[in-house]
Amino acid sequence: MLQVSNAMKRYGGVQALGGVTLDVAEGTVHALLGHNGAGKSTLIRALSGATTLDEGRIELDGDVLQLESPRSAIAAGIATIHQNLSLVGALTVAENIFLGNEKRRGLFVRRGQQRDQAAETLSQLGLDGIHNRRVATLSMGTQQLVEIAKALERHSPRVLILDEPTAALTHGEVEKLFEQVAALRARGLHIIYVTHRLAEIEQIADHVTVLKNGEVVLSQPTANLHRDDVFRAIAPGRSTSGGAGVAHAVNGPAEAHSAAASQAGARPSGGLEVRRLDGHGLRGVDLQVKAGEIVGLYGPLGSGGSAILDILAGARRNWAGEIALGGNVYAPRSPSDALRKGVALVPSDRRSRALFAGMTMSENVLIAKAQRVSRAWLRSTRRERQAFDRVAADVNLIPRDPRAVAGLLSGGNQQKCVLARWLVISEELRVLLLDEPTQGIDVGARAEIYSLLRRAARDEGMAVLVNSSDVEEVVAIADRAYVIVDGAITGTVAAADLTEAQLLNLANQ
Amino acid sequence: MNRPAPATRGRSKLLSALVGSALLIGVVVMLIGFSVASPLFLTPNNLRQILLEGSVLALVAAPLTILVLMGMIDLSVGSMLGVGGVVAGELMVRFHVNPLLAVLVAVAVGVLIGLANGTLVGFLRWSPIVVTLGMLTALRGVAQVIAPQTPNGFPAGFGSLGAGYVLGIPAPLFFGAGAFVVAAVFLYRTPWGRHAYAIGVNREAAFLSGVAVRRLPMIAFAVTGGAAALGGVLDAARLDAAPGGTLGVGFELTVLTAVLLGGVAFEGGRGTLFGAVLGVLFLVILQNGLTLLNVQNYYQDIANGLALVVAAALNFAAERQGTAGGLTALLDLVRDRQVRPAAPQAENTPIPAEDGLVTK
Repeated sequence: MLQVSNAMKRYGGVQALGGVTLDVAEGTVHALLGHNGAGKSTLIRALSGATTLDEGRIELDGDVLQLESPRSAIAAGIATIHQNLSLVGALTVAENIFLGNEKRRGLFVRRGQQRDQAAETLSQLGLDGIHNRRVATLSMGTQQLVEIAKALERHSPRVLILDEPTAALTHGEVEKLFEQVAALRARGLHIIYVTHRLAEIEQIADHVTVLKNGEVVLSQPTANLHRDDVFRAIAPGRSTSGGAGVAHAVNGPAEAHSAAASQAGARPSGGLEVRRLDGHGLRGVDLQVKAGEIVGLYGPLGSGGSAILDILAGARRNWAGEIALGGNVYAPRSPSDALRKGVALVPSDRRSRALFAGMTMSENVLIAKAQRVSRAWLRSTRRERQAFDRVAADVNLIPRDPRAVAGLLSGGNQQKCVLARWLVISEELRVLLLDEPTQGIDVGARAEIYSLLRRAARDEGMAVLVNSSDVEEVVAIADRAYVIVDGAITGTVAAADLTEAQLLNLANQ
Repeated sequence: MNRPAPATRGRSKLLSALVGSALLIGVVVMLIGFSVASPLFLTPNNLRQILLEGSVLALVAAPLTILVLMGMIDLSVGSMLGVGGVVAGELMVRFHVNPLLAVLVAVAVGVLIGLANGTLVGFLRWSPIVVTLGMLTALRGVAQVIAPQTPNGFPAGFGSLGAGYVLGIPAPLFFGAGAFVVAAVFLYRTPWGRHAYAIGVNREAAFLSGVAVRRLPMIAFAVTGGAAALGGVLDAARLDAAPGGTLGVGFELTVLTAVLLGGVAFEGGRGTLFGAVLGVLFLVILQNGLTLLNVQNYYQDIANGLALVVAAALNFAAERQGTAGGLTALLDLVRDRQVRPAAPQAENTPIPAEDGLVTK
């Protein structure tokens, strides 16, 4: 039994943990949920020795653990698999597993022994014959398992912490990961599983704990738990559009569909039409997004949805096929060319492709707008401030401080900044493309982003195309959806049949 | 990437402000120290001399700062300086070209070389260090090919460009100061200034946001080339000679030292133009003061080099605390007396480890 009792931690004026108690029984998977900023990360940092608690105790089978450093946590039997994997792509799987912990004879590495031992550990995880492959050639799902193998090999841990392990995995990979997690549970590990995806909890977790503002607001066995209770615990009575939006995300956008259908009919000309698109792994993709409509593009990661969006946004060239925008031939040479023609992209992987982490919120939001509000080439502080204030209120940025550094914001706020970058010039845009728009974002911010997208489509008549590997998301946001697998469209789903089952069915044909 | 929690501790704020403005403090301390140590230091003539010595450095440091902010670098400025001086000198001495025209041609040559750098680095995305290092060597050869014998004995009007005074101010200073003013307006008052930072912070995101990620660096390279050539012209005018083999040798390292000393991050995205100005002043004052005190050249080199190493330590400390370098930190300290909403703790950005330098 892993017991955390009365854990307290403050950072300056911010109470990150306000007396959290958590019991993880041996041989169980304990899911940990909560908003960004709810205290999950701090708790995990404390357990993994990356930070020390101000107060409170961590015990494993009654022994009090002194976790002063990552090293001491590892020695105490706590292994943490972080969201950003710590593998070196250029090295082989075996070399990665023993990196920094090499089997040596004198100065020399005993490669043979490392390979054999790695192969054995890997096969326990259902991975055979990969120990000599370079990590960079493996899929994200396999890399995730390699990381687990590394932890098992090195520390023979008793506690395994998985921090959003499925964020970058395909559907099949998630299944495979869950099999292995279940096997590790059967071996008696204490597993703490951090996630944003409620569907996963029902599948894998034995117990659920929800944190909010550094305190436990729900802790129950999964068996007698309803999904709505978890939703309510995570985001009870949010003052903004969140409340309605959350319900929306759960129940599906039934009434939105009808509104879209009527609007879309009224605006036949502004949309996007793609025919026989080839290149970058795509195979003859046909798709259509009408003005005022939100179209979902569902497919496991790496299926080609991102490639379609990148091509449409001008970020990738060398494709073949026909694209029409509002009836005219459209062949963007670069993102700035695409923007001139009214097409904007919110890319996946916010940190590396969208966010200017070291710059302020205002600079992030106005990167495209500043030019448009400048006077005789000079920036106008006043007009920039006005533009920022307006859009910040629109998308509900918190704090509404133009000077706040973007890299310090929560994931949801960062994503809102990136979205605001385009909403602030929405009068010039005709098409909004979003790639995995809510990856790593809490439920509340997710609902807010959905409602912003609906407004962009309904009120401003934009054609919105959302690529997502998350079925729940596609069902929650889209009016219609395409399913893409291995670069080819395998089916379309009209509003009336838009269900998770239908999408999964088309993806697994 | 470690980003700290918003600090509300007064003492560490003060400390971070001090760390952030160490360069400014260093300049002030040197001014006082040298004034006390040498009666010749705080005289109008010597102060003019300091500004004169800093002028060409400033002229090139300004556009180079913008390049470095974009995550670029130009190591060829020393040789471009040589080529600029030699071209102007040769045109005037051998071909008796009008001085003004000679200067314009020299600057144009610098711009063209800069455009070549910009095309290879900015457009084709070859490595800036490798390309401009190659250009550094090649252009030094070019300077000597253009003028195998050192041109000297320039027309009288030309010399005053480098050695003359306007209203008691050394003529080159107008160029050096002018370059900084123009660069400051560009960086802080135009949208493209923000774009330059954006390219340095995250090029891919800038590209996807419609920023001119190829054209902007290319233009900056061209301007840097033109500025370096003009610097060569000013140096040639001051020396009344344009020795192709030595004019501007080592200049690229001095100017880069000044920029980095000023807290501009080598990897781009962080730093201020004001810091670069201070970096230039710091180097020039140190050099001048030590010369007045009859300290040998070798020791001056040691002082310059160590200053840069200390700057690296200070920048690291400032970054650890998430504060900007330079005067920004001091300004923040004052500004924070007003109420500012605290940024929420970002969940997925790690809080700095407790071994932070001054975080306790």
